[in-house]
Amino acid sequence: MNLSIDEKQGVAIISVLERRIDAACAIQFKDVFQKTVPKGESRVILDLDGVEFVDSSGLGAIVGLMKTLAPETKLELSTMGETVKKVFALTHMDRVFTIHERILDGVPGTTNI
Amino acid sequence: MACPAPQTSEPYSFCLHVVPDPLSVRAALEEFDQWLGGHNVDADGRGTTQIVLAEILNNIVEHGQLSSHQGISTSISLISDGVFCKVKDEAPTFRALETPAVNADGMCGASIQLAEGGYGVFLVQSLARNIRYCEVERGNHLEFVIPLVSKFEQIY
Repeated sequence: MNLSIDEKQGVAIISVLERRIDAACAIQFKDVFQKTVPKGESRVILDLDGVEFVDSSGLGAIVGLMKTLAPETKLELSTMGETVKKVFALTHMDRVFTIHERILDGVPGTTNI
Repeated sequence: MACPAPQTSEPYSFCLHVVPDPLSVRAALEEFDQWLGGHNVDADGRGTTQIVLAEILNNIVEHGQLSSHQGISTSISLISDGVFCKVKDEAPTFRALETPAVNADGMCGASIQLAEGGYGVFLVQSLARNIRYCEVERGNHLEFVIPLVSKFEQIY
């Protein structure tokens, strides 16, 4: 599971460099993310650009990370493909997470869906 | 890995024998996706099919206690209004859709109370139609339809 981390305007941005977050890698994703995320950040954006598919295991991992990080750190999501959006919409997770259409260079507000 | 099943004579059907492990399920899902794409099913229909099949196959892998030589026979067929799917397994006492689904509270509550599992059955029930189990001598035989409103209807 390959993730990369960047920081823009004081916001940590973790990008998933894989096409899928699914049952085959959900646990590994969660572990790697937890090792990658910097301590003490108030906002972390998980950039899903390039992730074509998230199943319920991947969704559960992302929900678990949000719970683990809260309340000190808010986990936000960005750049979802249509199939990933569908999973979040059907499970109403699109109401739970702040989801950005994309990440602007000037990050703070970025663009909400 | 997923192994091709015996050829079917139906031109709009595709069948795979899936070894019960998550990486084989992933490989099978990608093969189904490619096959549907080759038959002009649009990205939305392919995505929906992949969501449903992923949940069912991974549920069988996770809970079905299958040995590595007990594959999951999975076929998809294009019908006039969707994708007709058949999933056959030899899980002795388990049915893929009998794991508990998360309830509405689990999906909409405060973040600290949110469920981390149970979304799979909910996704299947939301996206698939005509879900039914057939009685078979050994194991389970699940059938369902993924409704499509896509361009592939033009080929009929």
